[in-house]
Amino acid sequence: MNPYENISHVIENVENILEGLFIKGLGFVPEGTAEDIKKSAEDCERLGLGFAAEALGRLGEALELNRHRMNKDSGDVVKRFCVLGRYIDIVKNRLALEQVRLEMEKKEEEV
Amino acid sequence: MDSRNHFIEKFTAFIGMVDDEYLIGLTNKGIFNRAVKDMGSGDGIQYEIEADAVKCTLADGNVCRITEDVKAFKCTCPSKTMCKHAVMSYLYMKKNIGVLLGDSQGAEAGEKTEGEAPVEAKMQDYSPLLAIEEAQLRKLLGERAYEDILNRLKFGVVTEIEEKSLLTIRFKDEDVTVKFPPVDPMAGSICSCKSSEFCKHRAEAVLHYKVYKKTAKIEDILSGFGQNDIKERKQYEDVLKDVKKLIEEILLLGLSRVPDTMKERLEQMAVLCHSANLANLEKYLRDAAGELALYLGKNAAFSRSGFRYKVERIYTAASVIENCTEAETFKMLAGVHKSSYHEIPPVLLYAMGASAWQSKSGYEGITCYFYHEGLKKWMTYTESRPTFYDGVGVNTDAMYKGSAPWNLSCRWEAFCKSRIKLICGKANADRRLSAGEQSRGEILGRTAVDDLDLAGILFADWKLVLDKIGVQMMAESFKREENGNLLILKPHHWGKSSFDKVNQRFDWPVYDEADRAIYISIAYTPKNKKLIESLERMEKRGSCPDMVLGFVNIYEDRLSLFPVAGYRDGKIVNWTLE
Repeated sequence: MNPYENISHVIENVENILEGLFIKGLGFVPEGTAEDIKKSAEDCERLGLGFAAEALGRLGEALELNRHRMNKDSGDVVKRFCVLGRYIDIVKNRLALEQVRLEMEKKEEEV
Repeated sequence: MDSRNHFIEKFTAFIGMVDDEYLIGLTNKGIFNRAVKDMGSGDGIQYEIEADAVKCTLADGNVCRITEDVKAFKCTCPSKTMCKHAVMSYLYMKKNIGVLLGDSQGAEAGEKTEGEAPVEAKMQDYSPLLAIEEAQLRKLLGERAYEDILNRLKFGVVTEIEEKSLLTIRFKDEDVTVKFPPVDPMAGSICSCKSSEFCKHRAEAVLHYKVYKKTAKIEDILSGFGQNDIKERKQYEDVLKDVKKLIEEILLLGLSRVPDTMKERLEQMAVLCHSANLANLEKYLRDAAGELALYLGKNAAFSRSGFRYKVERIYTAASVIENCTEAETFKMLAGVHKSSYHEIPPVLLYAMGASAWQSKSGYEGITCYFYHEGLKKWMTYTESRPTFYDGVGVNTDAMYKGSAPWNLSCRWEAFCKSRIKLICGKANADRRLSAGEQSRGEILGRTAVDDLDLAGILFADWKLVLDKIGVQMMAESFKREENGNLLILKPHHWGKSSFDKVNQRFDWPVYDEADRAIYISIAYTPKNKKLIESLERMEKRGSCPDMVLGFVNIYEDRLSLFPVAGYRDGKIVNWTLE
């Protein structure tokens, strides 16, 4: 059993949310997105990804606030989106490294 | 009287250290020899010590006034530069130094006939040079020339320093010598480049002297490289705000609604960042513009996640720079213009192979990879052509058989496998070499890979390869070294190759002693077909190389190598070109 499988799965979900927002635009967020973000934040919290959970929570709040505003506060929502994106990128790189390291260690044990 | 005595004191101190070499340096050997010959002809020189000069009347009627400042001489002859009359005057006064000293001992010491060696030079005090600040040198030379000096220091310049009657600093491997007199060293300095102005050799010599005398450290001097003054904050604050606004616009609209004009706007913003010396942001913006062009052109090479990464990177970088208060951190974040090429000292380069490539932005070319043994870093030289002009094809095979750069009389084929001494070369911050008109190469022989010290880039243990790649991957993009993942692997044994028909990918595992695998992994494209066929042939013949040069990455949860060249029996084979 790959110990990183759960984290990979959760990170993939977060990335899908970010990709969806990136394509549609942060100014045109559909209703269901808030629920997806909330669920993803809970998954991150459960797996110990505290920073991601908090960042997702704040992104969700900022997007919801903007949905109901005439004058969108683009700065705050974009900042949270970008910071979360960079964090996910760092985690993915780290996961990739650790998975290769795990494979190498498995091979060593076999030999 | 006081001022006259003061002048005599200064002039005596100066004339005591003047030697033949110094005078030749001020003029040339021809004028010096002429002066010595005319002096020996027996015609006398009349002298008179004035309040601030020594007036010498020569036999031909010319009158020369000399002081301790060699540049301040005045002669009645029409010569605009130092003439033989001035040289004769200095030689005569040196011979008659006793007159100035006012005792017979000095006269004996000073008297000499033509052809005899000068009086033994004594150690002088050159501490005024040590008091010169780097900022003063930067101001005297100008930014560009000073940055050139720092770049040369980074590469490591070897000097020979001699402190005698003159301070002589010789740049080893180069025909440059700078001399400083102890009295008013800056004004009285001479350089073999014959420049009468304060040249960059003089400035560099001062820096080397300071390091030699341990009043400055190379690391501290180099910290001035690519300096961006944080006091010029206002210049870039507005630019950063505009960068962030542009990214906000892209993200709020979304990729599906981004207008065609956004590509030009990204490029315009890159130009503004260039002017504000925000080199890293400029690069990120150009990268993003390039990626967006692929999207707008419906090019299959477009990567949505790649574009999102680039956009996020721009915004976070701009935000961090905006909030940065420390000069050192700011310098690192702002970056150095990669388009700036600076002079490097003569370097010995080991060509380790070359590869043909094609970029997403529509360029094709060949890059030769050199190893600098002293710095333990890669340096590259690239020739490329655009492919986006109709009817203009790029033939890298023809380029490979074409002429090498740097005035070398050989082909690229030999160029990328040779040991080369490069003189008057230029390189940018990424250690990319340029082909300037003045750059000259000298081939010293073939690169013997087995004889090189390749510590840090040669690996036989794949776990260490993973550690090395890990450092690269986890570093921030502005800290990642170009070609940091270009490594030489020494496999213990080779596995069996395979071709994945579904994913159209060639894989060939290479193993270390602990049976850990790195996969030579090549996606099939028309360009890569030749490379794959070369490797398949090699496997069939059983002639696998002892070492492999290539780019290592992590792909699909495994270490993956894109090969460039193989080394076997002292030979280098460039797989993408042969």
